[in-house]
Amino acid sequence: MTANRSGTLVVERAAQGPHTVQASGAGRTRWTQIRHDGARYLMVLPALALVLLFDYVPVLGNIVAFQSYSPYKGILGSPFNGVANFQRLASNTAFWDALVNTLAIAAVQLVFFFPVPIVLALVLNSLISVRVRTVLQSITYLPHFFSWVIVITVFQQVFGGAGLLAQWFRSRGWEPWQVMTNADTFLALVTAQVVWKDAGWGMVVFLAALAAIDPTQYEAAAVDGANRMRRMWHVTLPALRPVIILLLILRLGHSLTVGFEQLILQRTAVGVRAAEVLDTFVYYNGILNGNWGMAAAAGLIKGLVSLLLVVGANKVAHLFGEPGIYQRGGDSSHHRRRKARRR
Amino acid sequence: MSTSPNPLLRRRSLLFGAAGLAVGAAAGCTAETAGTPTDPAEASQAISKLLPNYVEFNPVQPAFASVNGTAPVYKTYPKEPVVTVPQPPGKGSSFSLMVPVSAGVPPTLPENKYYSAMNEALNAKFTVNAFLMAEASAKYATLLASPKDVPDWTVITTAGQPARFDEAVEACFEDLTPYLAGSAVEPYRNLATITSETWQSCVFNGKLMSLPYPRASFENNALFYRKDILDKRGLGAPKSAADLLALAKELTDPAAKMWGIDTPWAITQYIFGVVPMWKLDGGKLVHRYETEEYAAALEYTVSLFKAGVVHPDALSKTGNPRTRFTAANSILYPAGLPGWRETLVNVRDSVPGFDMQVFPMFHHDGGKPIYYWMPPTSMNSFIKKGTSPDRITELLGIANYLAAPFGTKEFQMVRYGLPEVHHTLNASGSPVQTERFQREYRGTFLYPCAPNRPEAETSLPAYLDALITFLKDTSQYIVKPEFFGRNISVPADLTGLDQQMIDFENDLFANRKSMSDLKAAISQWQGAGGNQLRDFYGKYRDQ
Repeated sequence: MTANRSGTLVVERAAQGPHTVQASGAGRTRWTQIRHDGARYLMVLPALALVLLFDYVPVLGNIVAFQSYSPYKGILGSPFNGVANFQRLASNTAFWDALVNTLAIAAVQLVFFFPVPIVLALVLNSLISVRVRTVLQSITYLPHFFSWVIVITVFQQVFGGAGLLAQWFRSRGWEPWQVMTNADTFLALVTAQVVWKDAGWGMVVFLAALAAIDPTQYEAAAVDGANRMRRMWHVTLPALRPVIILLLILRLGHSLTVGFEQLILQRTAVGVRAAEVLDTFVYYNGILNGNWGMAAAAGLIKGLVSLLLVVGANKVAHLFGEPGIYQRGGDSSHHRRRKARRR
Repeated sequence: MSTSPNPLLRRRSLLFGAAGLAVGAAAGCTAETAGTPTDPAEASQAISKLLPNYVEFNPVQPAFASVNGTAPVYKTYPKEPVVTVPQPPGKGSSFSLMVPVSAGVPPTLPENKYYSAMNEALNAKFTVNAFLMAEASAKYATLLASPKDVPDWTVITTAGQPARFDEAVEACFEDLTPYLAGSAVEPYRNLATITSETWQSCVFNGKLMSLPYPRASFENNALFYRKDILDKRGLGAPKSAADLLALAKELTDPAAKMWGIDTPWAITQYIFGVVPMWKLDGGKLVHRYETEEYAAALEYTVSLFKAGVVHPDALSKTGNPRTRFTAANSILYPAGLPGWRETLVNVRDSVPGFDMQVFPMFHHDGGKPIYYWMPPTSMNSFIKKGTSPDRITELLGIANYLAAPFGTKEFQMVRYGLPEVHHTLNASGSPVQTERFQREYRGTFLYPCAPNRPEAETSLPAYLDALITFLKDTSQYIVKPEFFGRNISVPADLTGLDQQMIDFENDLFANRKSMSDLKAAISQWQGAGGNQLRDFYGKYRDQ
């Protein structure tokens, strides 16, 4: 359910079109609309209250970023210090290192992790045997349920200095390859860990989108002489595109949250220069060292950068005619296309 | 207990001695405002009024009496332990207790028979919230930030005290001074046997705020070794740093998954006599990072890593060094002295032939070693602010039960649980803890309050003999460091300074940095607040 810029309410039921109800009307006042949709508004209210209470009210706590905050004195008892916390951050090289590491990890994971579930979904979807597909699907998404402690331990047991790989190297008289303590290859390591843990799980949404494609489109394409690759290019990928764009934008919003647990567990092994990210910086400064104000300032900067990334990506999506995470106001090009299709 | 390389370093505050304590006491102020000069004589009087009277009580004479603050060692278990608390101290009230444990978290009620037995012995209903000591810092920082959510009784490790701890204590906990100071302690016979030095470490902001889990002067890290393995190879004890490197090389065989030493930094700083935090040099305070001993200890540790004699997982700080030691993956194992008994008790039946012994302490050049006296408590327990006087008195009665010294029925109940369920008696009449006890106990009713630390694992006579030999030798080298026993809360913006040096040490050992970077690291530490820290401590020294 979305509201466009003129205030008309668009209720989208199920997947697409035939049941679309447009409660717009030139003569209708806003009050008439509210009365008309009163029951729906009432149904939304509890959820709205929850969002306000747990998502927006805590945002007010960011005021501590402008205070020399002590939890024992509270917000009202702690003195304001203007932008001193931001100035301290700006002069702190550890903060800039953490920011650079965060952006680097986010970028690398976007390029090397994000496509993996799509490729996996396409490969699995092309398998004919349902049993093989089910088994492979289970195997690939099982690691998602492991905690990061288990994942790192497994990697340590296999790739650590005394792990299977190192012992295999030693048994041949070779110098072991230091995988778990090498700061230079840490980006590849954390990305590999994320792929191993979450690629299977990320594939589920794409498999669902693939299942929703009308098989007659493949049949029509086959009749027109399209081979397997052509069908994937002209039928499968266009059908997946809205989901891909939506998930990409959502991921961008979380992209600066690059895995607190995963990184803090390996921070000592590879060193702070490679593994300190904004979340671990906030943890060490805020929780452990009691510099809550400075930590909140770092968190605020992270939030603002994330917001800019989401809004920017959404704009780009709109430029390409995709709905993104919300519809553009008015009768968007996307809607025009969908209407035309229905006609 | 955890084996922190330097327990003092991980603390956000230091314990005051009599004079230093008096500063806070008389001024009645937090650390950040404690710069006001105070008359030391007047302040000493104020502090002496806070401390509970000491009443000596030794039901059993030790085989080795305390020397220079070391733990006394008892070799025989009394046939008829003395009863010091004839009636259960509680009134049947319910309490929540939060306590850190070093190993796995014990099962909860009703599965945990130790908990139910203790509840019965105390006539109280304790809901125990045990958590791993490794998580202590983060746990306390978040818990204390919400004073209304703290449990009735909270055990806080000195190493895990969060930043602004003086403020937290004031906001979250009750002042016990009116209940325990001076002669007020006398109804609590066992609490009165705890030494005044230990009670001093329970004073925060000029008030007696906590109950102690006492520590002996030497619980520092020592270097343990697998005697069964060294004997087979005919190898002996090292007497210098060079000997240690040679021994570690001899023991290392990576193809057989065996390395000479684990977590070496935990012992090399003792071998080189690195001061816990500050030392005086020509009347000027010099931080440990700025000392020659620190640089030499770092350089030597780097040489151990470069020689390939250190277990690879020590670098990534993953896994458990004790497990690697018992599995003979690493043969030399630096750990806190209490870890010796704990390891023996835990693995005596599961690893055939396992023989863990300790090397006599040695100085890097073969000369006279030096060890710094540890703070008198490793944990303190606090009672929630707003607790009624009746419930405080009830909890203090329970603490009195837990503080019963060696040779009493209560000591036996706390440390050995129920007969036949948690312990059995061996041929010499010594209690031997069962596997069930190991799983259910984990120190949960030991850490909230305990007597002066004894060494009394009488079921391990060979261990006690070796311990006496070790303590006799080591006790002569123990000295008190600068600011010993003074409880100083460091300003919050200076509390994170150690982290950058710890990160530097890790980078150095992993060969990501070299010794030539040390000077820059120290300069950075000084600029980021190290010099301010020196000025801050300097004020306390002047007082």
